[in-house]
Amino acid sequence: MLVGIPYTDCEYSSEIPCTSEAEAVAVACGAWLGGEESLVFMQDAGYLAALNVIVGLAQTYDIKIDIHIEFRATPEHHAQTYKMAKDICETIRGDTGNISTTY
Amino acid sequence: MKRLEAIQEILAPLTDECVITSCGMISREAYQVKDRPRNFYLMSAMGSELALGIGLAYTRKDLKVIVISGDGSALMGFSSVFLSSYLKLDNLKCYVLNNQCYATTGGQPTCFSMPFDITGVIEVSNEKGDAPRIPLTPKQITERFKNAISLHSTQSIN
Repeated sequence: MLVGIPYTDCEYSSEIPCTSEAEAVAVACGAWLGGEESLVFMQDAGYLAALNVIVGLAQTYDIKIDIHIEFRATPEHHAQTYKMAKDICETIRGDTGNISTTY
Repeated sequence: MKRLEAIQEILAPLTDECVITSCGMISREAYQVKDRPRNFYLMSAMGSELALGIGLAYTRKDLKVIVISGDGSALMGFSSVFLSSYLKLDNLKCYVLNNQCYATTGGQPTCFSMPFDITGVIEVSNEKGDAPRIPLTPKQITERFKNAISLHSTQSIN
């Protein structure tokens, strides 16, 4: 399942119109329970908003999901979000094998 | 009806349905009432139970999925009501046990205790592509808006 929240120049199209990045992650986890693997796409700010579901649901229950995080092209305008998302992304990558992130 | 009784009512007749319960008291009581392999107990990620159920019901149309949520949790993931309504998943059912408080953390009130007709919202969301219209001209709407903001009131615009 391909699901997520679009961003500027987004190369993906969500299979269903999710209302938030956290919801998209939870939907992907439900799909995984049903036997289907998913790619969830989102922007860096949405990644921060979805962290509770990524950690509390996907990581806690060892649910495998792939997440693509799009970092904004102008990080100087969103420096705090950009840095925080990058740092957390690296931390989660190092902590678990069930969540793979690309950016 | 007490929450435990409601959970008993929901779970008692189930056979092969998948059940997803929101974190806190509902998961604990569902486990106590009728633990079964097709129960999924959320222990965290409050508010994500309906979205989780949507993902499962969407990918597995052969399964019946039941989500049991509390009012506090349902409010956190309320936008998922619109997604499930949009998708019109016949195999997904969601119960919201409304006790108007966060029972797990000590009974603090939720805003569900404010006067609010949730069924009205869901009814609107069911009208796919047919949003309610204000029967006024653009000029009348502008005048009404200017009038409303000049009142310096925190009350909603009627």
